[in-house]
Parts: sequence; structure tokens; C-alpha cells
Amino acid sequence: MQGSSGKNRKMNSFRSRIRRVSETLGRQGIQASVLVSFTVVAVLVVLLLSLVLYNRFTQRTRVLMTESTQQLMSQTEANLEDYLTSMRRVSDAMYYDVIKDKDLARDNLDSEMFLLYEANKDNLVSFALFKRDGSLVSAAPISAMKARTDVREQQWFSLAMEKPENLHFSTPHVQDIFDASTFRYYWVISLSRIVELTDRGVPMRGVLLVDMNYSTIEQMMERVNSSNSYQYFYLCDSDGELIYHPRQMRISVGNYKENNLQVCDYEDGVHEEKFNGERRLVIVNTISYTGWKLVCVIPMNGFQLGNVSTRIFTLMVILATILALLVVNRVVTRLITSPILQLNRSIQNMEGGRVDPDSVYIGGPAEIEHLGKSLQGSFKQVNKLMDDVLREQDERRRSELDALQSQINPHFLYNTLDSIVWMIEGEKNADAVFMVTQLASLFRISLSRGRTVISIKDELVHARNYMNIQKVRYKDAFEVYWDIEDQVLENCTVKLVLQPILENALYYGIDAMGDEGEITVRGEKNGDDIYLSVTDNGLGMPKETVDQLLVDEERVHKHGSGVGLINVHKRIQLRFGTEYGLLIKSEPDEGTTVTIHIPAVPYNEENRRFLERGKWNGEVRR
Amino acid sequence: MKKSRLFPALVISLVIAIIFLNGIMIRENGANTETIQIHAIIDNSSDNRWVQFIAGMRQAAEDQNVKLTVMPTGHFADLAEEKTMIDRSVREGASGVILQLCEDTDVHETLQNLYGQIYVELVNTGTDETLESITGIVSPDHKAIGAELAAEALYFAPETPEKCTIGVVSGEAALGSTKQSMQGFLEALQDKGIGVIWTLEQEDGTSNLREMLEKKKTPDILVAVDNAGLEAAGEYAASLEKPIVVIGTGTSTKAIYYLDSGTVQSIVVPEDYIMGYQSVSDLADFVKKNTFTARARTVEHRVIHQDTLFDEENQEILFPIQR
Repeated sequence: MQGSSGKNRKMNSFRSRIRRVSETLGRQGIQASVLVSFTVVAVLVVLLLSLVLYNRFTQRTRVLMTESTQQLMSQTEANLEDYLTSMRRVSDAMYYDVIKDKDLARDNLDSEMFLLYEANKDNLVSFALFKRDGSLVSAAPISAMKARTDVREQQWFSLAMEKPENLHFSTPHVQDIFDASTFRYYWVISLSRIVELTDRGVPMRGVLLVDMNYSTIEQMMERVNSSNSYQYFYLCDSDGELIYHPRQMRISVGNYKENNLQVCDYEDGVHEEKFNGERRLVIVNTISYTGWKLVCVIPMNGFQLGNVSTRIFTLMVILATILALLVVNRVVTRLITSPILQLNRSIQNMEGGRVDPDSVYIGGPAEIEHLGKSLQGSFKQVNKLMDDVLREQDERRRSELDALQSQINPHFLYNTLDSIVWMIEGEKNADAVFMVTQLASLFRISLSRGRTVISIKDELVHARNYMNIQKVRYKDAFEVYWDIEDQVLENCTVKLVLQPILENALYYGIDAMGDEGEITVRGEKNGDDIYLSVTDNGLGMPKETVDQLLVDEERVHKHGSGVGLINVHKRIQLRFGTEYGLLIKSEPDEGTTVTIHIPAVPYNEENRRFLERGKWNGEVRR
Repeated sequence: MKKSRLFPALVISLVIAIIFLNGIMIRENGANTETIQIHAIIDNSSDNRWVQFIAGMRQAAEDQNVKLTVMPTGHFADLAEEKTMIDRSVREGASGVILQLCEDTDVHETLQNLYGQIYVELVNTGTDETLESITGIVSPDHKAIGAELAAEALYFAPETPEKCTIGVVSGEAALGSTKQSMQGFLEALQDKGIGVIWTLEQEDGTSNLREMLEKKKTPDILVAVDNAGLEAAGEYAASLEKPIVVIGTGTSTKAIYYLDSGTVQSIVVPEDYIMGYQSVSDLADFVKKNTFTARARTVEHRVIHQDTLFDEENQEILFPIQR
């Protein structure tokens, strides 16, 4: 269970890593993602393919090298067998043609032995015939035997005596029988056999020694070792004793090691072994009759990327492939992703605001082109919708303005007519005429042929008409003072803004003052702005009430038109912007001042129309 | 690193890596194809005593894949003459030279100017000179060989050493190796009760050494401290009617023959094969990699008597080339 949960944890960790890499790639953009994905996949495929091909190549190389080596070994084995067979035949010839049936007391063997030696001296060092007691019978070439030498102690002699039925091949050794007065010592392989001798008619055993020249075998082996490949060949006897090794001396002095003592137990054929930390292939062939083993050693790295150059070359090929893949993938991904990126840029432009649908990229593959066209259509649709929304908003605002405007007229008309009715009932005809005259003037301005923007001059006339009517109604219970600068008269204003303020001043300020009420109307230009203020000396208001006057639309009006100051304030702001509107200052028992703040826009037809469209943005002035 | 810089950086890194690897490969191929030449300059190169040494060098040259040339030389009269042979090797483009100094005087002056021209590996020498041009020294411990000779002399000396006489002969007395062997021998004999009645030192080999020996009083034990001396001593002892004990150091077939024939009783044999193999290996390594610091190696020696001459391990050392 623990193992299973550990495995799951590892799997989850791996998955989360993959996810993180994927997310990171995603953040890098489509081109980077595609490039990295393409390159990674391509590199993995190349590496996998290389690995498979490399293994195939290694196996094939191994088979080919093994086959060629086996052929070479067969040839060398045949040469060695030929040589050893010829030596056996020489020994046979010496025995059967020269020694057998000869009586040592009567016949001299020297000349015949010498003749046979002469015929084979390229491959021989010497012939020698010994009696069983080790004494020399004859030798070719004729040499003096060392006085201290007892051949019975030498291995080739004892082997021949122990196994008389065989011919015996020794391992290489320095000949130690004859006096080397010429200061020459020979490496030989001794071929010894038991022979039947006759001395004075008495049969006896002796040993025939054929000392083969070791250099012949050495030359054969050196020929097969002359190639510069990693493999090498050596020869050992059935006990593993080395007969030839290309590094014989190094082995002798302990400078090199060979696995000959184990290899001698190997069957003929191909074997794999690990020796001294090196994996290698060993091919073994047994030489017939002698039991010698001809061995070929091929280090495994001979089949592989054995030398440094090959390894570096392989690494270079891999890096070059990765480089080529990177460059090609970069070009390909750019071709693929470029239309997408251009389309993306079009969308990014859209995010910055209104976009020209014609600037949307249309091109690339059919799918991207289709996407572009769809996007372009969408942009057009969006633009159309935006225009519609704006138009609707504008119309709604205008409607709202008109609605606000229209809220005044019925209210005022009701009050005024109420006053006139009251005058007529009181038979104050002159006053009634005055009232009607003033009302006519007021309505003329109110209507203004449907205009909502009029000159301040007309607005003041309208205000005067209104106040005249109210003064009649209030029996001159208050005084109105007009202090208007001439320079403000010919500027634009939203119509009917003063009248509601005056109405409020009357109802909230003056009503409770009896005959002492005073209302002062001022008009002045300050910089680019115009200020029209209405000041009364009425009851005034606490600050809390003032603060609510322009924000509380639901406020219940106790008196007056019920439209209130907020009506005027909103109309001004809707026309001129939120930086304009009403300013109210009031102190309880001191009075109230309501100031209209509007921009100074010269009154002319062009400006009036512009403002009528409700698009004043500060540009139209002066 | 910004995204826009990553790709160029990656490409540039790969290109640099490929160029770098290409450089290494060219260098490797060059190292494989350009055969390093090593020359061996030894006194009287055709002398039979060098057989094992040259066999060792050739094996190392084959293993290291270097071209070895044993310069044909006679007997060097002095170091100046040997220097002309070194200069010839430099002219012939040898990267290194295996050098047996014919004398140990003025070594510093002779070799100090070779730095930058050729690497020198000293062999079979008594000097411990250290110069930038010397990559290493491979040599037997000649003092120890001398001491071994003294031990052998004591072994063969009669029970009353005071009555034993010893003559010492050398045929290459100018060699540092011979001087050290002599020194080691004499030092080891001190206080042993055996007197050296004469020493015969010749510098030019064995030309008239035997005649000079015949003029000396026949000692009980004749000790040869070099190969030339041993050959002359063997030849001299073989001519005597009354046998004397001859011991010495040497490796030539002639010297070995006198041991085989019983004329010489004991030979101290340095492992010249190892000396040859190691000197070429070290020098080749130095030339190829140029990273090794100079090193000194001492090769072993072994004492061989008549009855152990043809032992398996000895015959490999003594008769390498005749195989």
C-alpha cells in the first residue's frame, strides 16, 4: 500500500510538473509554445531514431566483425595446423626414415639427421635424439651439450616418457641443451616423442626432440595482429599457458593482464566476458591435436562509439540536428502563427477603444481568414451598436430635458392664472391687465419657438415678468433689486432657470418676512464664467438642509412649483456639464443666496444650435 | 532573459558548442594522424646490452602509437658529441628524446637550452638534474645494484674474508650509472673485512679491457660494475686456468652466456625492458598532453645465478627479442 501511495505521489508530482511547464509555455505565447513543442517532439524523435539506428548499427557491426574475425581465425588456425602438422611429419620422417631399424652401435645417424635438418631449417632450430638416461645420441646441427644439463629434468622429456603414445608440444622456452658459444639463445617450441632405439641389437626407448623455431609461430600471429583495429589475437595451450601474446612482455613484468587462465576452459565459439572492468567479446578456436587455443579478443567498445572523435562527432551531429530543428521550426511556427498574431494584434487594438473594422487583418490560412472576416463583421456590428446606443442616450437626454422643461409651464401657469383670477375677482382690472401683459411676455419667452437655450437678456426679461406678476400677487410685500452687468446679457443660458429660484426665494425666504422682504438679482461675468445670483433676506436654512437641496430628488416640496432647485441644477448640468450648476449659500435668519454658474457662451445662432443639440463640451465659447 | 533574446541566445550557444566540438575533433584527429616522433639516443646503440631496453621501448611506442627511432650511435667521446646527436633529433622534428647521458658532468649546461625545442626523458642515469626540458627520469637504482653486487661478493667470499681479494672493473667509467654502482658497491663493502685490491676503470668500452685485466693481479673475486666490464671480466675469467668468482651487472647476451657457461657466478640484472617501456610511455604522455609534471621512476633489478637463468620469469626478461 505504501509503495502504491508513493507511486501515486510521484505520478501526481510528475503530472503537476507537466502542468506547470504547460502553463509556463502557454504564458510565453503561441509561437513559443508551438516552437518548443515542435522542437522537443522532433528532438525526441531524432534521439529515439538515432538510438534505434545506433543499436542496429552496433549489432550489425558486431555480427560483421565477428564473422570476419572468425574467417581470419579459421585461416590462421589452418596455417598453424599446417605448420604443426608439417612438424609432426618431420618428426615422423626422422623417426621412421632415419632412426627406426638403425642400430646405434653400427649406424651413424648424424648425416641423415643433418640432411633432414637442412631441408627444414627455416622452421627448425635443432633435432636431437636422447637415450632414456638422457644422454645425447645425435643432434643436428651438431652441437656440444651443456655439461650441467640433464634433459630428464626438462618438461618435454618427462612428458614424452609419461605418455609415450603421443607427440608433445611444449610452451615456448629458451633452448637450454646446447652450448651457446656463439652467444645466441633461441626461443623454441619443443616437439618430443618416444622412439624405439636399437643399440647392439638391444631395443630400448629414447626421446626424439624437434625444437621448432618459435619465430615461425610468432610471425604467423604477428601477421594477424598487424591490423590497427581494437581486436587482438593470442595463443595459449590447453592449460592457459601463453604461447603467443602481442603484449607478452608486459604480461610477464606484470604491466598487463590477460584472462588466459579462464579462457582455456571456454568451448570453441563466441563468448562475452567482463575482464578488468572491460566488456569484451572472446572468440575461441581450438587447434587440433595440440589442444592449443587460438583466441581473439574484441573489446565491446570496438563495436560502439569507441574513440573520442566518434563520440564528439556524434554529439556534434546531435547538436547540429537540434540547431537545424530549432531554425526550421522557428520558420515554420512563424509561418503558422503569424496570421494568428496579426489577428491578435487587431483584437488588442480593439481593447484600446473604437477600432476601424478595415484595419482587422484578413489573410493567412482559410481558417484564420475566416476568423478575421468574422471579427471584422463583429467590429462593424459593435460599432453600429455603439452608435445606436449613443444616439439613444442622446435622444433620451433630450427627452429628459424636454420633460423637465415642460414640468415648469403648467405649474407656473396654474399659479399665475390663479393670481389673475384673484385680481379679477377683486376687480383690480388694471392689475389684471398688467398681469396678463406680463404673463403674455413671460409665455412668449417661455415658448421661445421651442428653443431651450436663450440669451440671458431674455431670461432676465422673463424673470422680471415673473417677479412683476408675483409683486402684484404679493401686494408689493417685498422689493426686488436688479444688479446686472451689461456684459452678461448677450450670453447663452438654459431658459427658465431664474424663475424657479425666484419662486423659491419668495416661498422659502420672503413669505415669512412680511413687508421687509428683499430679493436681489445679480449678474456678473468672472473670467470665462457667468454667475447669476438670487439673494433673499429671508429665514435662511441650516447647512444640513442646504446640503440636501441639490441631491435629494425625492424631497417633498412644501410650497411652490414642486420642481425645486434640483430641477434647475440638473438642467444646467445636462446642458453644460457637471462642473456647472447651482451654488447655494444660506445662513439661518440671515438669508439665502442661490447662484447660477454657467459658462460664458456668446449668444448667437451657431452657439445656440450647438447647445440645443446638447453637445457643448467647452469648445464653443467666445 | 527576455523572450525575444532567448532564441538567438540558444542558437548562438549551439553554434558555439558545435564550433568548439569541431575544434576538439580536429585536434583529436590531428593527434591521431600526426605521429609523434621520439628518438632514443643511447651510447653504442647496436650493443647487445640494449636488446631488452629497445624491446621495451618498441612495445611502448606501439601501444602509444608513436614513432620510435633508435638513433644509430657509436661510443660517445663526451657530452658535446652526444649533444650534436640531440641537435640532429631536433632538426629531424622529434618531439622528444630518450637520452642516456654518456657522462654526468656539464649536464646542466648541455640540456638547459633545450627547453622549447625538444622534451628529454633521461634513462639509466646517475644524475638527478632537474631542468624544464627534462620530463622525467627512468633508471635503476645503481647504488642499490652496487650494494647487491657487494652482497653477492660477500656470499661467494671464503669463510675468512680477510684473505679474500677483490678486483673491480668497469668499462664505462664515465657514466653516472657506473659511478653510482661503484659507489654503492664500495660503500656496502666498508667494514666487511674484504679489501678491494684494485679497481680498473676504462671509459671507452671493452676495446683493451681484457688485456688490462691480464696485467692486474688475479683476485679471488672479480666484480664488474657495468655491462662492458662484465663482458671483459667473463672473457678474462674464461681464459684463466684456475677459476675465480666473477659477479657483475649487465644484460647483454654475452654476459648472460658467461653466467650460463659457469664463468660468471652471479649477475645483477636491471629490468631494462621496464625502463624502456616506461620511458617512452611517460614521454609520449607528456608530448600528447603536456600536463604531467616531471617524474622520476626507479625500475627494479634482480639477481640471477646459473641455476635460475632459465626460470620462466627470468628467461622472459633476459631473452625478449630472440623469441
